[in-house]
Amino acid sequence: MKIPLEWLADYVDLSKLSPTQIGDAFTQIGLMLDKPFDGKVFDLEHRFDRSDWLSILGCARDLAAYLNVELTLPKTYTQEGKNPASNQSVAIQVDCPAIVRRFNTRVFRNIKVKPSPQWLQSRLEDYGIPAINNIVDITNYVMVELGQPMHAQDLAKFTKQEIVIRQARDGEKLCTFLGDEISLYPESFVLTQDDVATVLGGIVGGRATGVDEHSTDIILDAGNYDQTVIRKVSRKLKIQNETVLRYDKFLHPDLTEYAIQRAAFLILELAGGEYYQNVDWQPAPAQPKTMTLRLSRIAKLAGFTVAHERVADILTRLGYQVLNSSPEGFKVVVPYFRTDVEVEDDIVSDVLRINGYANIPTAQLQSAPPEDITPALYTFEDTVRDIMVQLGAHEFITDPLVSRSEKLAGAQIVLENAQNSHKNALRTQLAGTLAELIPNYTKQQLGSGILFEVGKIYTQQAPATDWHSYAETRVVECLVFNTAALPKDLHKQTSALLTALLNSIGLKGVAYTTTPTAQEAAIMCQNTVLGTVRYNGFTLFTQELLNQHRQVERILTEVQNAQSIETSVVIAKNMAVGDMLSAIQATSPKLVKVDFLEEYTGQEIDSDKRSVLIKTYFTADISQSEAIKLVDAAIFKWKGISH
Amino acid sequence: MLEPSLAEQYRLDLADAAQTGKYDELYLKYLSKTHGVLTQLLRQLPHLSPTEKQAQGPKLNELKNYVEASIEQGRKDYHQAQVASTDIDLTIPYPPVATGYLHPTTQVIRHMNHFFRYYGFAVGEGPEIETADYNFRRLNLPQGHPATDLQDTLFISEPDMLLRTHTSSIEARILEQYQPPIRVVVPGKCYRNETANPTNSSFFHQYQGFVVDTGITIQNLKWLMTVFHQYLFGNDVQLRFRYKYYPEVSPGMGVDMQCKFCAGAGCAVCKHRGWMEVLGCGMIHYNTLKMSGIDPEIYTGFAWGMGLDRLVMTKFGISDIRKLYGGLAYL
Repeated sequence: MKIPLEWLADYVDLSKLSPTQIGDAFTQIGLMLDKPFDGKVFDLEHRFDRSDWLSILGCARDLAAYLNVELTLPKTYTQEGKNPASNQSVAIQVDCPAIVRRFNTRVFRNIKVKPSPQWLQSRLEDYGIPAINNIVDITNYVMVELGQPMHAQDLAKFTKQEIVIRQARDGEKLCTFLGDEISLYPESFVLTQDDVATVLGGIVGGRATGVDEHSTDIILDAGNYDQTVIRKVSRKLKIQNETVLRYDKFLHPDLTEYAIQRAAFLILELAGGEYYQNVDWQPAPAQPKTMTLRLSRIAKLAGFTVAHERVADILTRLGYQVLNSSPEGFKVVVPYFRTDVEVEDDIVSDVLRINGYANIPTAQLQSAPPEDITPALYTFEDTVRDIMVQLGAHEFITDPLVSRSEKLAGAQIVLENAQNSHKNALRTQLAGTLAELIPNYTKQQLGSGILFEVGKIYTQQAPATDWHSYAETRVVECLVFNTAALPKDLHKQTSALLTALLNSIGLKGVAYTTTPTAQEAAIMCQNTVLGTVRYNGFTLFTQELLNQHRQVERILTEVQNAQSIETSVVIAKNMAVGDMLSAIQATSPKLVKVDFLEEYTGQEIDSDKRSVLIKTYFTADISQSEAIKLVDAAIFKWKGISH
Repeated sequence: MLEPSLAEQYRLDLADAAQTGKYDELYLKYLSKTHGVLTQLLRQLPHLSPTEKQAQGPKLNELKNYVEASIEQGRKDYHQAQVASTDIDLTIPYPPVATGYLHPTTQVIRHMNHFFRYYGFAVGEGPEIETADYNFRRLNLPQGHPATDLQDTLFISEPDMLLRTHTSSIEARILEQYQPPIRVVVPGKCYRNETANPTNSSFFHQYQGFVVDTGITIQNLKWLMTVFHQYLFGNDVQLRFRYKYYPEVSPGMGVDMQCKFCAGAGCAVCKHRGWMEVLGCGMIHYNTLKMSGIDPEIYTGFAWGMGLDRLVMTKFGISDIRKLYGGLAYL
């Protein structure tokens, strides 16, 4: 909200304050300076709750209350206008009462349209609205001053003495006062003349009935409409202007009357003419909102008491009407322009901010810390991160939004309204995302690295029916790259990393089994799939890891691996070593673990076979010959050869 | 049975090993459990006649002890000789062993968690795919409320299924699930329908926190925000507390930190304000507590929320949020 200093001074005596002090005061009460004061205009950040802060008077009122100075209200013309002759009244018909809450009108006749006086023009220009003529300028001036958009139409351009307000028809056209043609749709509403749209309700006026230098008789309207309709329509039509800025907030219908009285004062003073009553269409006038403020509630939220008289003063300065007061508190009528006040705590807010947030002391939390409800998975993921870093890996956090893929139709979660086609769906896997990071390294002449991310992948069950149809699965993704290494060497590094990670989180009995996809093997533990491993990376499901993880025993004080046997086995190339290791592991509880050492293919081995060297570790209570027999038997059995 | 030449043969082999350093092979040749020459002779001892046993036993054991001791000594001597004779240039800085690195955002989250864990806060988390109920309505944002415009939402299925626009949705879930006393912080990803530029991205991080208990006041909030910023930026940090509206709190509060670059005088970094907005906070809205099944006449609470990414970027000197989440490499 822009507030020209000179204009503001109409309502608040600022003579003893510097612009910096005024800016600081605005900031304290909730109207932070958006830009530095330029010598003329305060540019204040506006929060959408306070529709009255889209008016200079609204901002001035709170400033005056905070500074403890009087607020001077603008002059209005409060007398009723003349009664028009029966054939001179303009009828108002509203066919969309769900949208229109009030449509308040007056007629002015024999006015003189001319340029506005310099003071008015310069104030509007300081605000950022160009001056046009006195009538249009007055409607704009009152809009900025009081927050109520208004609109004037030339009665000479009316074909009927009637305004019909109805919803627009699909494809209906309107030529705006700027000469742009816009195409309407039924959610919008229009003011019409003889069924022709002349104004897009609450958004923009039309050229057909606009006021110009030849106009003498005009109808002035101040409407109140459903702000959600204005918001939707203006966004859809991409029209943003000062009218929309205010009408898409919750304005109170009573504001229309105050604005018309102010505009009447200015029109009669600056354009002359006669002033006539006309229809004030309002089927259900809004009732005043009455609320109670307890001093004990202020103390409960603030931790200190504010004196009764101080509270009463603040309330009055802000426009609350105190119906009755008691030592416990106040019964008040909420000012109509404060459409933001919903609950008692909102009035407490008013008291505290006008009293000054700087006057709130600090107090340490006194109560004992409550139960720790941190999910185990959160802590566990941090452990996984630490282990990966210990293993030399670099952590990344990547954007979960990706481009929609037709191949994943049904499984991928797609966004309905993404602005960017490269970011219109959620990722279903992380490996691809990490792979995109490799150029970050290569362009820095870094030829190798281990990348990982602890994150989520997102999938849906088709057809998605409710929130439960969407799954967020937590994974640890790792990618190993080395521009100089062969795939087999990358796999060695990947497998070593994976085993080290699994060992570090205490997983026992991990087995690797083949999958229908040749490019990956399943990582199994206790008949649960922990994830998959590829030649240059792996995916692990964090929740499953947490379920399987055990206390890690890294400290050896007693001999655990009392004896070991190295065994060389010749197997067919297409037989999976992982399966063999699983078979051996299941042999006996006396077998502590089985490790793969190396594989060999060469002249001594048939071309369709390979030699695999494994090492098994046994407890002390088994003889070496028995241990050898166990291993041999397990291998024979696995190979399908009877011993 | 013991060939007189065995000891001599061993001495010859030992002499070879002293030249080649192949003590493992020497050990296996004589003492391997399966095929060591000496091991096999020792295994035959029980099958010998008492006389032979008496004659051979001590000799074999003596030889075994000698073999073990001489191999051990030989290894040591060989290693020392190697060290003494090898020409090692100790000034060569070889490429380092690869070391890992945590993402800057993780580091900042941990740093903050460390503070709040000390003050008894749990870390909360929850879904990123949210319903409008938890993301808006329970936070005092009924459908059509203008505040929903603040955070242009990415919808999966309008108007009810969306990507959370703030971590406050987790506050709504935890308040529903647990009864006070509650102290929780929520670091997490959020989404907005924005076109990416150096400072804004459709995906970003927030750090949320909230406390609900009896006797909680805005003074506690001011205190916690003060000590938190002292923890982050040092004891000389200057803070400004002012009224600011947020729909999920009432009274609301904005917290600004005096610009460190200009000491409040105003510069390009702080947009000539002298202050930098750091977070929004306030007392949890009466309706939010009520909708969560917590009696707002008994319990009060406060909540705060802050964007993390700008803080991370400042700390690590990263100028573009798109680099933070996709354009990094680590040495």
